[in-house]
Amino acid sequence: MRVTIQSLSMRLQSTLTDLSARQAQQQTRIATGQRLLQLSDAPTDIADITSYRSTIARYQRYSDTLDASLAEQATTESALESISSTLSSINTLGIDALQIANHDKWNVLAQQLLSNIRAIIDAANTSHGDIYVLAGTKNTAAALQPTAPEQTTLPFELVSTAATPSNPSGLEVRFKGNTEPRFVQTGDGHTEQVSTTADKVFGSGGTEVFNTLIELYNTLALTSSGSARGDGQIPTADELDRVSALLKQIADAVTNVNEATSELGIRTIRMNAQRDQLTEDITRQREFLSRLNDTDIAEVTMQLQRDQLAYEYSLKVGARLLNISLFDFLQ
Amino acid sequence: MIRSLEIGKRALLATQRGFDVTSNNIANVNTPGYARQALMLRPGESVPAGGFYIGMGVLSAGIRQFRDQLIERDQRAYTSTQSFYQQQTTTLQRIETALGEPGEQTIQTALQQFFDAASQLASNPSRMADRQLFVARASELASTFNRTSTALEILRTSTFDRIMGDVTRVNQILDSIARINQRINATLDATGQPAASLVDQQSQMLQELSQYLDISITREPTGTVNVTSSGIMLVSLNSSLSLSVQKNINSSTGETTLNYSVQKNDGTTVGTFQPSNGELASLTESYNIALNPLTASTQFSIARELDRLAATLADRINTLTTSGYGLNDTGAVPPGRALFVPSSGSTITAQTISVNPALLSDPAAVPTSSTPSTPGKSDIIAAIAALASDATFLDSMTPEGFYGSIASQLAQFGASANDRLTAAKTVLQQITAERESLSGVNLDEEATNLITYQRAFEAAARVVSISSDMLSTLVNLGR
Repeated sequence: MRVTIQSLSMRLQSTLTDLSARQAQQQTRIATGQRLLQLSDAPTDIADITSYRSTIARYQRYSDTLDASLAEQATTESALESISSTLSSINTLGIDALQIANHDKWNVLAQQLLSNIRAIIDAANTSHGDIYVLAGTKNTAAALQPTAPEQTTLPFELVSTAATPSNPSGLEVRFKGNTEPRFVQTGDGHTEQVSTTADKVFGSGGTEVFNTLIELYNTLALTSSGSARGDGQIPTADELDRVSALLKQIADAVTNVNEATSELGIRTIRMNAQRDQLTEDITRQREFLSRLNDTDIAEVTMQLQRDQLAYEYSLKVGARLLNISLFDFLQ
Repeated sequence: MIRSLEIGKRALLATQRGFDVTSNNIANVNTPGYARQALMLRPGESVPAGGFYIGMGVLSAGIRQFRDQLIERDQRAYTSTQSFYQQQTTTLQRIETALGEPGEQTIQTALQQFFDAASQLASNPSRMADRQLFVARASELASTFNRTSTALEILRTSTFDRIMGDVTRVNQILDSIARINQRINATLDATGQPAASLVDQQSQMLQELSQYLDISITREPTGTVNVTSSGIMLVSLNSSLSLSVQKNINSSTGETTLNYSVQKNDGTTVGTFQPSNGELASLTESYNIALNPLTASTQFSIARELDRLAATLADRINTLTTSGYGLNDTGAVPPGRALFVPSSGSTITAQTISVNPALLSDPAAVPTSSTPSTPGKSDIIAAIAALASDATFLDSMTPEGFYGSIASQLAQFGASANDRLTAAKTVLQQITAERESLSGVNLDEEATNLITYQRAFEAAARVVSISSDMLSTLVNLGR
C-alpha cells in the first residue's frame, strides 16, 4: 500500500483530534464530577437517572410535608394536653364543690371555673404559624370574622348574650371555625389527616363541652332563681344532683380529649416512621443515582493519563514521520 | 548521426515533460482532490536502417491520472452519509443545549420545584408566603417552558438559514460542474482525454456536492458527468438545474414545512425534490419534523412533545383551579380562575404558557379549596400536588416521567446518530485512505522520479553531445 503525506497527516490529525476530545471529556468529568456530559453518553441510563431524580424530589417533598405536619402535631398535642389538664382541674373543682365543706363556697368556685373555661378557650385557640390548629379548614384570622356579640377573630370566643332560663348567665362559647379535617399527601396515593377537629375534642359542633362547663358555671354561680349566689349560700339538692351529672359529662369530655391526644400520638408515631422510611429511601435512591451520574474519579484519572500518554506519543511519532523524506538526503 | 541527435532530442523532451509532471505532483502534494499524474512514455516508431529496424527513441504517450471511479463513488456515498449523521448529531446536541440537559436548569427541575411548592401550599393553604412561592414557581415553570421553546424555535430558524445557505452553495456547485463539463469538451487533448486539472476540479466539486446531497453520476467518454439526485438529473452536460426552497404553510393548522423544487435557468419548475441523504436531508428532517411543533408525523418531534406536556399540564391544573376558591372567595359559584393562560392566542403551548396575571398580582386568589370560606381546606391544591405522581398524566406517565421519556428518546437518537456517524467516519477514512493510496502524492516516490528524470536527462544530453562530437568528426574527415 502506498503511503502518502496526505494519508499520514490525515490519520495523525484524526488521532490527535480524537485524543484531544477524549482528554477534554475526561477533564470535564473530573472538574464537574458528572459522568454524563451529554444525554447521548449513556442513553440507557438517562431514563433511570430521570426517574431517580423525580423519585428523590417526590420523596423529599413528602418528607418536608411530614416535617411540617409533625411540627403542627406537636403544637396540637401541647394544646390538647393543656385542655385535658384544665378539664381534669375542673373535674376536681366539681368534686370539691360537692363536698359539704365547700357548699358555702360555690360562688368562689364558680369564678375559678370561669377562669379555667377561659384557659381552655386559650388552649383551643392555639395557633401554629398563622393557622388555628383546632379550627378545621376555616382556620385563619381572615376567615374568622366576628359577628356580634363576637369581638375577636379567634376560633373560640366566650361571649355574653341575653340571659335565658336555660342559660341565666348568658355566657356562651362560640366556635367560628369548622370541623372539616385537613389532609396532606405523605406518599404516592397516600394522605394523612394532620388536623384534630374541634368536634373530636369538644363534642358536637365543637362546643358541647363548653355548654356543659357553662351549665356548671351557671349552677355554681347562680341560684335556681337566676340571682348571683351569695357568700355562704348553700346549694339545693337539685343543684347538687345537677353538678354530679355534669361532672360525669366532664369526665367523659376528659376521656374524649385523651382519646384525641392518643390518636394524635399514634398519628405522630406513624408520620415519624413514614419520614424515617422516606429518609432511607431517599438515601438509597441517591446512591443509585450517584452510581449512574457521578464520575469514578480513579477510573477517569487513569483514562486521562492513558489518553495523555497516547497523545504525547502520537505527536512524537507524527512529527518524526512527517519530518523526513527522500528530499532531505538529496544533494 | 542525425538520427542519434533526433533520438537524443526526443529523450530530452520526454524527460523534461516527465520532470514537469513530477514537479506538478510535488506542487500539488497538499491540494485537496488532486490525483497524482504520471507521464506515459512509448518507444518511437522503428525505422529501417541497413536491413534492420532501429528504434527512434522515446515519445510522450500522454499523461495518466491515478484515479479509481469506484473508490470515488464510494467516497461520495459515504461523504453524504457522514454529513447526514454529522448534522443530525449537531442538531441533537443543540436540542440538548436548548433543554439544558444534562443539567439542573431544566423543565424537570422546574416541574419538581412547582410540585414542591404545591405540596407545601397544600400543607398550609392559608399561608401567604407559601402562596407567593407557589405562584413564583408556576411562573418559573412557565418561563422554563417558554425559554426552551424559544431556543428550539431559534434553532429551527437557524436550521432554515443553514438550508438556504446550503441550497445557494449547491446551486453554485451544480453550475460549476456544468461549466467544467463545457470546458472539458472544449479542451480535449490529442488523445481525447480531458485536462487533468479539470478532472481534479470536477472531482472536488462532486465531492463537495455529496456533502449536501446524495448524488449519482454517469460519466461520458469525454470525461463530462451527468449528476442525478433523488431521481432528478441536476446536471446534464453543459446545463444545470437549480434548487429552490419554499415554506409551505398549512392554512388549517398553521404548520410550516419546507419543500424543494427544481428549476431551469429560465425559472421554469421542473419538479419537486426531496433530498434523502447528506446535510440537506438531515436539516430538512429537523426542520419538518424534530423541531416542528405542529408536525403530523409519527416520528419523534421534541417541539411537539414539549407542547403536549405544557398543554396537558395547563389543562389538568386549570380544570382543578377553575372549580376552586381562593383565600377570600365567599360566593356560591367558584370564580373560575385558571392558573395557566396563553400569553398570546387561545392555545396553550410551551411557547405561550404563562401564569394568570390575576393570580400573579394576588396570590390569595389562587384556588386551593373546593368550598368557599375554607382557607384551611387544600383539596384543590393537594390534587395539583398529587399530579406529580399521577401515572396516567400523559401517555401513561407522570409529568416528570413524560419529560424523562423525552430526554431518554433524545439520548437514544443522539447515541444512535453518534454510532452511525462513527461508523460512517471509519468507512470514509478507509475509503479516503484507499483513494489516497492510489491517487495521493508520495514525496519519496516523486523524489525518486526526479532523480530518475535527472539522470535520464543527463544521459540524453550526453547522447546529443556525443552525437554532435561524432557528427563533427565526420564533417571534419575531409579536411
